Amino acid sequence: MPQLFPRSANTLARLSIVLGAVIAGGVLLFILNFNRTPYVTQAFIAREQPVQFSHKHHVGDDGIDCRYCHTTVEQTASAGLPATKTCMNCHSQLFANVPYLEIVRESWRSGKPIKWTRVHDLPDFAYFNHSIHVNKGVGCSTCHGRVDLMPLMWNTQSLQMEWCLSCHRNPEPILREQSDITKMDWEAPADQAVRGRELAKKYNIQSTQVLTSCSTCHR
Amino acid sequence: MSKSKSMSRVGKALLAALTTGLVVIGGGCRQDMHDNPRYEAYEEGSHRELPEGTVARGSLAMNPAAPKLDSAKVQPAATPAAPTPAAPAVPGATPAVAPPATPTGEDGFPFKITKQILDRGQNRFNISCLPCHGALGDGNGMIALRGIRKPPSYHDERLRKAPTSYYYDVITNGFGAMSNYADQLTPEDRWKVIAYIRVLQMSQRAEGAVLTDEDRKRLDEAEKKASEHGGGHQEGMSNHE
Repeated sequence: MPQLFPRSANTLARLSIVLGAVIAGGVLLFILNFNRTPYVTQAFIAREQPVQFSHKHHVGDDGIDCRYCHTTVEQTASAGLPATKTCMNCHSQLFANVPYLEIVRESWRSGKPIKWTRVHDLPDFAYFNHSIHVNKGVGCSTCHGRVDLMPLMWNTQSLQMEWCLSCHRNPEPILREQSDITKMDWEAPADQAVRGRELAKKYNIQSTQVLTSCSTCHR
Repeated sequence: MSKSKSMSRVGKALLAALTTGLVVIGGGCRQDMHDNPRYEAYEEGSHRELPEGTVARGSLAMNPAAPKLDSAKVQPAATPAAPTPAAPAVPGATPAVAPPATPTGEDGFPFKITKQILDRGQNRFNISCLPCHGALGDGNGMIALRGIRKPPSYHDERLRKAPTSYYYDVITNGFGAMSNYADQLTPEDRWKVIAYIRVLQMSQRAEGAVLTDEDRKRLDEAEKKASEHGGGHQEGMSNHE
């Protein structure tokens, strides 16, 4: 009876076990990491908007505080998208005739809001609340990045759960004083380790167990 | 033949594993949970206009008892009934060190002025007013420099003499080129901003004698520093009617 398998089949069989594991692992790694790339999270990708609104101009050049437009960021879950009226506070006079603001003027005349493209959109099962973060010392730029350098808006963070948890597990390194909350170029001072601990105490920040409990964010 | 058969078996197994994996992972791609059938902020349909005359709960008490002021009526002729301790209306008069009693009536506040209230007023002023009116309230804010009609200085005689109710009216209903800030400032915050405007007005006319030694020293140091840098000290007292 002739040999059914050549001698090399032994090596091949062993190799296929290793190779199979490597390929399966590779596929898993690929899927996991692919979901963290900007291709999926859209991070650093500027979104087209109906009006080319520039945070760089309004925040960076003009020095307008975030809360001039995002008025409810300290009181409610939503930071508050400004009404067209807020635009018209200035643009009834400044750039009052330029064509690219016609959409704003049309919205003002008709009373129909402008349809902006949302940049930061969490899934509905995450109950994110701006006010608690802002009131407990998490500044705007910690999550939104240097908005004062963005001509069109993009997200600098993945907005994935692992990113949320990175702070919820250890919030101290990013905590700041209330007077610095909207400061765009804030960087942790050299003694942040000490300050962060003091601020966590001052803001009465809950334990890691509470901050990472499922029902803190999912209800 | 046997070789290729064994290869294809491995291939088949891999294919099966991959398909199973994709089905398992891909099964999570439904977006029902991401987009719940409820209104979230900014979602289409979630915005409704408030019925006219809606007053937010708790803010009624802060609305002034005084009727809506006709701004023409409040021009210099309308002097406050009683001189306000918080803001000396007459230039050169000795200002009080701290605003003692809270004035009431047309030139009053609905609450007692404390440091906390002034801090909040400063905070809100710097957010909502500073872009045009400037940090000193002299009308040299960035937006004014960019070409919006320059707001009058708070240190003009007309505005120094205007009662607090006049400021409340302007914030609530707008005036001239300034649109109203009723949406951006709650009634309570409007009063706190007004209290801070009074502080600004006082800051530009305070007599040196009322300063404590420590404050005096700080002021002198700041002045020395400013003169060293050679920059013209911004007086913030421009007159333009």
